[in-house]
Amino acid sequence: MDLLKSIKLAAAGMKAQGERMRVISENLANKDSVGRTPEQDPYRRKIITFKNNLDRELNAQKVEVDKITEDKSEFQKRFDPSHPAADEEGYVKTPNVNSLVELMDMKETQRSYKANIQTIEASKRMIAQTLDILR
Amino acid sequence: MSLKSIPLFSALTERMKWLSQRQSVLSQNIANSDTPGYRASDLKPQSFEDLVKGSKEAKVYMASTSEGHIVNEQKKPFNPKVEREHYEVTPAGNAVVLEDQMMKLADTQMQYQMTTSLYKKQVGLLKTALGRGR
Repeated sequence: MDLLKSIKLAAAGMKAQGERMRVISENLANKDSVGRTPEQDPYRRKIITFKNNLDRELNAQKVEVDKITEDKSEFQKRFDPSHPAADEEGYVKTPNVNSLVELMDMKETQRSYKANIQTIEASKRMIAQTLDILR
Repeated sequence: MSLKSIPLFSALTERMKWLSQRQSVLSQNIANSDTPGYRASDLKPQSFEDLVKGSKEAKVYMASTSEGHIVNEQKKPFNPKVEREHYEVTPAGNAVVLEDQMMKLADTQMQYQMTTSLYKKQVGLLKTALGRGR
């Protein structure tokens, strides 16, 4: 049935967005995780990508998490000579996490998640209306 | 005589089929609203002519008596079509405008409600004709 199919599709979308939220919170939580020694790298930002995958059972393009990769961009630097991880010049490598970018991503995730919930509610209402004919 | 042979019922059923399929296409779009390279699709609008044509069941199909026979497709499902015109494409190549999709979703819902109400009304009419109306 198409309406149940649409609920399943939306649920897959919500699952993917939930996974994205997890990655974002991981990034945000590790925003200040620096190494202990000058050689050690600090936390590297993670990036999640989605792909659409044809679900043969549903015969529709279901959204799935493609892979979680690392952001290869350069680390930021902070001048802090007293820090144990500071190099000879007194700079400490800090994670390449920009909290503004993460917060933007979080907002987008929320928006998509809400949209999926509304789809489920709409489909549910339509099913209820169909059952109402019987009354 | 089945309910399907009443033109209005069969037209309403067709409409409900179309609407529920559109709902699943829209939910696919919404679920993929962050997938790189995904383009939104939609069903071709259903015209009144199609509804009226669909209610005619005068077509005769050949019987398939063996598995090798090609079965004449009786009713094609509605095919979703990828939309060509997009007015907003993200740098990742995603062309789903969430607001647009939500509008369509609300529209589909309203149409569905109307269709089911009409169906109920028609059933009520039949009940009245049978003499046990409310």
